[in-house]
Amino acid sequence: MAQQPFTRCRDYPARPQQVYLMGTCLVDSFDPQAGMDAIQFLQHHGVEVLFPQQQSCCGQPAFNSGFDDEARQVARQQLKAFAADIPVVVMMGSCAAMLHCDYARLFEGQPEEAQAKALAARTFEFTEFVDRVLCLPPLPASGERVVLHTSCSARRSMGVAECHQRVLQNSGVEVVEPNRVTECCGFGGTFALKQGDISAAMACDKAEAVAACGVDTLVSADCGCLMNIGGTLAKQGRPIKTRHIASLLRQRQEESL
Amino acid sequence: MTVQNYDPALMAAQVDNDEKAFADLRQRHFKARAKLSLENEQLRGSFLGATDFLQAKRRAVFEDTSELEHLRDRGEAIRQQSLAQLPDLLETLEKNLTANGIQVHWAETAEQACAHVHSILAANNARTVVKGKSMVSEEIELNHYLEKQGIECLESDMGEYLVQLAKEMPSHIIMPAIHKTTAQIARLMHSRAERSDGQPVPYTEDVDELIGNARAILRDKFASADAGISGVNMAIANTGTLCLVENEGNGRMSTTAPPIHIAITGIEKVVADLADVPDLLSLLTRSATGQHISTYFNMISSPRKTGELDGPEQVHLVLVDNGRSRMFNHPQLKPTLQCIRCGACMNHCPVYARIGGHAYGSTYPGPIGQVVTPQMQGLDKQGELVSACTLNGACGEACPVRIPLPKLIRELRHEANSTAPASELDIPGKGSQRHLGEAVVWKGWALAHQYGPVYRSMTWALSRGRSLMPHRLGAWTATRTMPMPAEKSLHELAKAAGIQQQPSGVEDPS
Amino acid sequence: MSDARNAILQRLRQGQAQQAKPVEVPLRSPSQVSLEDFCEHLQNAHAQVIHCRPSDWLSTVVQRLASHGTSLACGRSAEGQQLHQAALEQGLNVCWYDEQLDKQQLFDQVDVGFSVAQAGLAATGSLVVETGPDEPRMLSLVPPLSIVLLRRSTLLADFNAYVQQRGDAAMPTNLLLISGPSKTADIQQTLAYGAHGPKELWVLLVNDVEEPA
Repeated sequence: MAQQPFTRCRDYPARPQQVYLMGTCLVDSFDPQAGMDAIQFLQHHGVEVLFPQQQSCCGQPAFNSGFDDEARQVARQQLKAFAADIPVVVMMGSCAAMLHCDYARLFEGQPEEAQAKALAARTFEFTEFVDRVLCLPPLPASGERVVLHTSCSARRSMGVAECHQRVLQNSGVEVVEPNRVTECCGFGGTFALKQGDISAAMACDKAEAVAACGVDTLVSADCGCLMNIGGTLAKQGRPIKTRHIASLLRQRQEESL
Repeated sequence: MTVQNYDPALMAAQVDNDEKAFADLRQRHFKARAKLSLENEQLRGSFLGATDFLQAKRRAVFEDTSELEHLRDRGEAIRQQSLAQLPDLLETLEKNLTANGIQVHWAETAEQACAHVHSILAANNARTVVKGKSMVSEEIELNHYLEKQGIECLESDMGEYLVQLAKEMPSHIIMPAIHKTTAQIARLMHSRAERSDGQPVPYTEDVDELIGNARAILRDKFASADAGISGVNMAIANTGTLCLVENEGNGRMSTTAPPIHIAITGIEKVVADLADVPDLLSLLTRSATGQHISTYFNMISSPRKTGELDGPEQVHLVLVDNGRSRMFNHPQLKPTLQCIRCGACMNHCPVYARIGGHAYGSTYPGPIGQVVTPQMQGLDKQGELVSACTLNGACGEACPVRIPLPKLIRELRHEANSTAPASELDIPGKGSQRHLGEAVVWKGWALAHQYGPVYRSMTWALSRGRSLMPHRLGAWTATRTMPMPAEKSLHELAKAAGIQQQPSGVEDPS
Repeated sequence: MSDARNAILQRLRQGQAQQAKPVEVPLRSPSQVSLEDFCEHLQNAHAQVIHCRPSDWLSTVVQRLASHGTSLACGRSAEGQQLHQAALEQGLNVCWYDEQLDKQQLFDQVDVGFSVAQAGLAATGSLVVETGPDEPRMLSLVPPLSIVLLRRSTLLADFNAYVQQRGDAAMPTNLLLISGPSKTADIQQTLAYGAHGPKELWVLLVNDVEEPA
């Protein structure tokens, strides 16, 4: 039985003309197509997407490791890259949470504090933006089934687990969730390297639960989890492919044209 | 119950082996402890089964989520209000307890706390002690201290009793013997427990019989012990009252039957009024074991009064600091002291569920242990604990008093790597986890990510060099394939597709 | 060791200087008093709820105990005295809980203890027992069967309601909430009753409330 989804109260803007896309460093190098799919998906719905070339990483890896100065150096660059007062749509729940929840602490007492808080207020996770701001009409059922893994940041920090589910269902795919659905996959950024044995045990349990769903596609809106669970599934020789939710949404959009 | 191939010698050997395995585990470093625990299938089964069970129980008792969230708001507010007035409340508590006839002792350190308890016992010539459950007494290693002074200290909570019999430590703050199977306990009781007539208890795997056997042994001790020691779940300042939550009745026995009762508590457990108690109690029992209320809630305000027929003639309270006043001074880590010790954070922690309580090597395991232990014992000694967390947030979501546990763990990582000079009120071992190698990596990482052109060259190089990527990368590739960078980065794809960077009129900030 | 006291308080005062004022969250108004909930909680906790009237509670208990063939101890509360008298008349093995009864005897020879609750809490199925000279602490703890009398009229919604009702009244030596027989789940999460205290709890629910016609 799933835990009651945690829903956060937050005001959402009307559909804007323009948004920034924060690709995130993992999507940038390991699944750039997901970023392009998101851009095309949003533009198809009449939202112009801006992609600042100066963006890099939200700073979370260093922040979560306790290296605040280094995290701040990198985060400052994002404050500059996403300076205009338009929404920022982030491709991963954990990076969205870094901006939305943790920048205030990172810049506490710093000259950029107000700027960081303003950025936090206009930061949205990708499915959150699609679900709460775009409010799209549903597409016909496709008969496709996918296993959904919601990252812990998306679920708990951003409170967008329901958005993940709704955008998928709305796009006409059937969503299956694994046993112990709310449990972490064991990625945790540098945790996977620093506590490799524990991380591997968690990833194996998650891969087991995903495989037990009997569905050949695993989707998520967090690249780290996908690399962790997908890499474990692949090592075990299980034929389950991984996809970012944005790519699936774009595919369904194209199929429905 | 008949047992096939019953062999007492073999059983005793198995029990001794369990003890040796535990002693061996205690010797090792955190990573090795975690690895050993992960490899122990029986242990993993016990913990995963127990945490699944406790999570389901909690969910069922908090059916109404809006009530739960309101109650958590209340719990957080009550604990924060209490902490805001902590020094005043402690003085009020002392005044009212003293007026009620309860003697108050203050201890800055574990050693001082043990010494207080010993001197009370010694002054009364007390040689045998029964203990109700007290995590603070575990924290200050009281049993060990008293045993060295020749005082027998018997744990009476069933789980604690079993753990003491096995010469181990609790693996959970609410269910101390959660790591043991019924079969292990059956062997343990038969091999080590001794009835008052000196005979071993008959072998059984029936839980009712096992509990019955322990009951008989412990009731003899309650009737004859010279003193009882207990913890405290809450202390009420304005009435001078000590509150105890329990199901078994051993807490009431230990605090009622012997002529002396010594309660031990951390200084953070005080609340102002009786009115603060009901909601905290409700949060505590529901979060801990999914019970609407525990079987007993005992609020002790006085030793035996004239005309009363029973109850201890002396009641003492030992107030233990042991690092708490230091936590109180840290603006980010102060919420550590909100804790009501329900154990919900460990019941919901996916790391705890896999490695179990002993792997943490500290009195308090799981998320709250990862936060409390380094602050008490120092980041130099227990700093590695803070890395054993994915920051997934399940603990913070379950915490009945909304302690932001993941935030505190992250703050501790920052403290562990801090280069700022340490002051007297800082966490001991501040900066001790900073290693040159890692610090250099993060410096390099920051350089690569803070300048757009440098970052883009790096991702460009990563994609072009993808065929050169190693296929093995430490722990990652032991159970996973190596992730492969794409041929072109998103930066390149977006640029090629002519995606604008900024709204018209806004300059590119390069 | 007043040095320790002063040092601790001083460090706390230092930390107190830098804190923000916490918010207050009001108490939610108490839930309704539900007799059904009260009984259900107690039964779920393995207690027996025995419904009786002011006129027949004594005979009910004595009758039940007669078939038990056990020894009963009573305190000197009004109800304890009534029960002692009734039990004597019926030839039951009954004694006073007083100076004559030593601790070892209580542990070894008494099978049933009788106590009186000051209030009941519906939301949790709890009995509120206030100890004192007539209400000894161990009578509801040591004997394997604990009988607790509760008047229907004293049933409250929950612990908060009880606390409000108490107001500033002085605390008894022990204020107890009892919500079932003693139990443990410390062996592989398997429930077992009678861990240290009573294995059985009988709640004598005396209906002293006039039912509306």
